[in-house]
Amino acid sequence: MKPYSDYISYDAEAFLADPSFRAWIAGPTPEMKAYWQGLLKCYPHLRHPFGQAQLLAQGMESTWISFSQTYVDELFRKTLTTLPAEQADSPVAGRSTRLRFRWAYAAAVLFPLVSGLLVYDYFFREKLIQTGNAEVRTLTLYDGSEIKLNANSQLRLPSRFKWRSTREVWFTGEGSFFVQKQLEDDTGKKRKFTVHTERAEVAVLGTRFTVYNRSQRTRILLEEGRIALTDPVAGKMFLMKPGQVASYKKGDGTYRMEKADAEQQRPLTAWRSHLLVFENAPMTELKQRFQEVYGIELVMEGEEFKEQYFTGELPLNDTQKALIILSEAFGLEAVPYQDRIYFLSNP
Amino acid sequence: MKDSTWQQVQAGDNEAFQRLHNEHVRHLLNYGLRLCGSISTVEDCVQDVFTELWIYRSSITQPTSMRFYLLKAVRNKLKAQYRREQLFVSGWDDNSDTLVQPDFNVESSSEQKLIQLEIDLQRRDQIKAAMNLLSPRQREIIYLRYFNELTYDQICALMGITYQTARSQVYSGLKILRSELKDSPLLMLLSFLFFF
Repeated sequence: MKPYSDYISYDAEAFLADPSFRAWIAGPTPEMKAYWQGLLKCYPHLRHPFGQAQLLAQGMESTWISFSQTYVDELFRKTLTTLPAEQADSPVAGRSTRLRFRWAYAAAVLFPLVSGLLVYDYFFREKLIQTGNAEVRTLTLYDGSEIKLNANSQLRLPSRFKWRSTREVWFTGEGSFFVQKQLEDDTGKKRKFTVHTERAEVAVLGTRFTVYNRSQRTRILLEEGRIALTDPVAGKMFLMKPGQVASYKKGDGTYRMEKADAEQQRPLTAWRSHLLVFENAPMTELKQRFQEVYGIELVMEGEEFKEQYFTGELPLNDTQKALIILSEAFGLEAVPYQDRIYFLSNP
Repeated sequence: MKDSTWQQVQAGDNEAFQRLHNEHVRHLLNYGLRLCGSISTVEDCVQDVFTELWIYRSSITQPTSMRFYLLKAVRNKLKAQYRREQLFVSGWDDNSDTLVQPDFNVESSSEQKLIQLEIDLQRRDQIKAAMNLLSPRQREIIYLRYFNELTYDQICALMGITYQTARSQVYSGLKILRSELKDSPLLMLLSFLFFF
């Protein structure tokens, strides 16, 4: 038995778990009783936990049903009779062979199924890639061509199987395409790569270009190589040279071709290095870009915003920082309220 | 020692199987009875558990705690049979004044047992009152702790509750007892009986 001092910090639970305490409850003896009485005299603060533990333990112990040995033996005998006969002879071998057979069946069914699914996924499934708010993602296509997607853009990529006959993708949003040149196997001609958007079909052979295709506008910037741009509605085709921008605004007849220098190209391409660039942008454009890229609506009401233009750069992957930059530029406070950001004058 | 018993069972040793059976069966029966109350159901269920243990012994890796493994098997079986959680009874019949001791082959009668545990009639009523203050869940946790020495983690896994719940159940259970002991002259009586 332990020295009394070991029990100083005991609570009811500790008593319940104590072997000598339990032994005493299950089979009380006068010596044990004297021992515990001595403990409580020595440390009167233990009376409460001891009392609780004693009550619980006696409650447990007195409801314990002690099944006799004959009863237990009889039960075991009955259990043995329920065992399958063949198990008793060579149980281990029987079990494992049966188990192996079952696994063999499962594998026989599952293997073609799983591999079929994988083959389907690899060769025949069309892929849809979607980027979220403030997310820029780079994809490598089957032929090694690279596509960089800006936030809130969608790319539909045909299956590998279809890709063998035509290289084409469907696209909305903002993206930069770096297309690898590829030769036809039989004819040795260069293979065409086509980007379909709502108002443009861009056919290329191997080049670098950027497409902006959101609700109001479509703009295509050619950085390298040559592309053929088709306006399917107007039925016109343009051959573009590097450094040219083709712009279309809802309501226009067709595309307008412009020469763009490096400075003018930046707002279209800077998102690739995670920057949103504005050059003398009116508030309507700022709001629209913000909504497109960060998925957040800015509310800019009041006289002070009329005739305002914004020039600057916002970090694409950090919405909070972008809002701080804007509020500093305007000298106003950005206040979020119900999924919108309100710009209020500082009190 | 325990390890080798299980290894012998896995190798197909009937005697080891009986040792294992005898070591655990009383606990399983007692536990089952508090979950369902019908001895024939519990008997069937415990038999099934051991039968399955024997049949599948080669594919079962040594459980860290055999007791835990078996208790869980019994609990799942009974639960599946009733399709809903049964209240965990205290063992003290809530309506009648007698201790529930079903009429089958037990080592000692309830009365003898009370004498053996040095519990007189007055004390018996106190215990009964105290046990019925606890909720079924509290009873089950304390029961598992007391008789089977399961860890809290095992109790949680067995009953499908979180560690926090288990701890707070026990804590509040003890709190109920404490306030009850304080309010009533129970503790006074207790220490009186105890010291004089």
